Amino acid sequence: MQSDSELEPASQNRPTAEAIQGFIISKLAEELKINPAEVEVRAEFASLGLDSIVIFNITGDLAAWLQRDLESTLLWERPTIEAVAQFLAADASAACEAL
Amino acid sequence: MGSWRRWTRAERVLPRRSGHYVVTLIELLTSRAETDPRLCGFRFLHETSANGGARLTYFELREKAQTIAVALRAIGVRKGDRVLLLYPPGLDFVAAFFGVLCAGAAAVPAHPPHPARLRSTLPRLEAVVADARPAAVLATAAIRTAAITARLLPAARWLATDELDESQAAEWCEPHVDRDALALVQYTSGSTASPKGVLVTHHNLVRNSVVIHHAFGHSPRSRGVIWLPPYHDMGLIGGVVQPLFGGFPVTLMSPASFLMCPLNWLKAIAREGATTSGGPNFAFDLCVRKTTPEQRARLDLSSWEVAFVGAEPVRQETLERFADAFAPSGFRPEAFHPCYGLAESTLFVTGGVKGARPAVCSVSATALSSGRVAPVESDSRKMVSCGSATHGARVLIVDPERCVRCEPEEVGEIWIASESVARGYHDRPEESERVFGARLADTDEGPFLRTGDLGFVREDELFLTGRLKNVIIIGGRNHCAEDIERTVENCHPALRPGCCAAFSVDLEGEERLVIAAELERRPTEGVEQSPTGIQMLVNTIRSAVAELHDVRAHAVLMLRPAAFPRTSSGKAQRHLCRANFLASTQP
Repeated sequence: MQSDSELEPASQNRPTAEAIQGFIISKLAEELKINPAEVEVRAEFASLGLDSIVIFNITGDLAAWLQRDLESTLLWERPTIEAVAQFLAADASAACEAL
Repeated sequence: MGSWRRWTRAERVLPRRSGHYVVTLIELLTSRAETDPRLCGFRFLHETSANGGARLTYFELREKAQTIAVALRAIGVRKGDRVLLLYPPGLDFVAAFFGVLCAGAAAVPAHPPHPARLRSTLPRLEAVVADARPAAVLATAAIRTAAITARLLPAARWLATDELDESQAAEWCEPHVDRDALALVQYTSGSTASPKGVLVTHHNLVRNSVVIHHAFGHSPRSRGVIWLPPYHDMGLIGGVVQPLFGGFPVTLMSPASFLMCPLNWLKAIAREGATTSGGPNFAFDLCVRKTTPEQRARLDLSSWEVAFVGAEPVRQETLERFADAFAPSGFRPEAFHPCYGLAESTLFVTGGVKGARPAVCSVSATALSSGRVAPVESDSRKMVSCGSATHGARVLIVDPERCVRCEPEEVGEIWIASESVARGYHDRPEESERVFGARLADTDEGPFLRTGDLGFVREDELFLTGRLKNVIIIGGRNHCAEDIERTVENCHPALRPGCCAAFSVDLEGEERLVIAAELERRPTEGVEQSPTGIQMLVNTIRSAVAELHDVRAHAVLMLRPAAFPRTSSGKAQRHLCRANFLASTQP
């Protein structure tokens, strides 16, 4: 079982949408015990048949990896892996520009 | 120290009012606010700020509760009415719960509608409202606004309690509420379409609180940390009522914050020096899975005296894994306190002895599946004791068909008689009589509560073995098998109605959902009888079940037309499906 600290933290650089997407795919594959290549980035989370325990787990793992607070409802409000990744990447660059 | 001394010490700290022990939760709140007004009894940790959070002293809680009671009276709520509570986990819920009681009404806690998941959360809420017919709905302003925008419960009388700024407590008149008055209607049983509200009285709550207080060895020096949802019996009675009853502080957090980061729960226990905390079996597995040895080494869990485990079967492997993993944090395995309970008996039925390791016995799995408890041969199944009943409660093992007591070490239905057994189900006289008014056929002894759970008693300890009722318990939550089957049948026209089974199996130390569904004989348009077509159908089933029931299907089996096992009368055979599945997974 892979724990969060074994994955490289994402703090050094602003992670790109692609990197975030890769992280979510790896977590989903781990939870669903499937090959990461089988995870479709445009598939809705709902179509993967995930329950809220798994969704909260993944959101928490993502927050720890990004080292930032995330709303617990994030994965319900952005329904696909791609949408979540793009939102977080855009949000991160907006936050940096504001500084 | 003998048990007598322990008991008297516990009795001394039980809440009193005007010289007698409290008999209602209104008296309990008044008593605590009078004796410990400044005690910060409730704290809530927000999801994102580990150290901040809201607090309520007992004095403030009483002020808020009385203010809510006055406002409820002003909108026409009368003594004996039922009032729905729609809150996210937090202190607003705690104040509203006691506010309803202070108005002499009964609280109906419900899972608040989730804006992004209305399709899954709404049908159940609407069915609860239709059954409970509440006189008013209490909520936060945010939930009220969201609900009104979405046109939910259009006929309801809403009251947003977080908008009541000024204290109206001085205008509160204590209603005359006796111990047998209804305090709580707990909707955790029954199907989505037909939920059953358990009628819990003040006396039930006070008696169950005494039993928990004693079993967990609580005192004013106890400290609680609770992440269980307050609209669930374990979160409400264990996490809110019990700390007030024992007069000790509790730190509450949301289930989401625990699930997003299980370490947050353990850190809160360490930071607060908590003595009492717990959850369903899966929570302990999750902690092991989601923490690293370095994180565990930095935690101090040595204050943890009662790690209660309940709401789903307790597994010895889980307890061993957790105890091993958190030994470096100072966690003591004797803190584990497996319990058995159900909403129909308020919450708690049996539990272990504080500070003693739970008893474990190994029995033959084959004999057990045929209803007997036999010594181990080659097919060992380790069972964890759920402890014994105390305070005059009776736990019987009964043959569910003949309604006579089983022989010792025989598996049967668990029947209970105690002062915690609720009054029945709301508006269901026949079902209440059948479930709450059972009598032994040979002696006519009764009434007993029929739990629908199966177990055996060995040396006065209760061991749970399974269920008579068609309930699937995953992640500490109960799912009605028929509900899931209906969802599956309705999710695609290629599936044959009435030919679906939802059941659970034990895999890798967890209860998992398996679904079997039969294809229609006539090919359905758009569904190829090809691997891709079948896979798409399986995905449709998985997503419908996840969306409507919030549970993940471990396996979905598609059966050829006419392959579904049925009786000669055509009744679907869930247990045969399950047996076939288990046989197919044997190596």
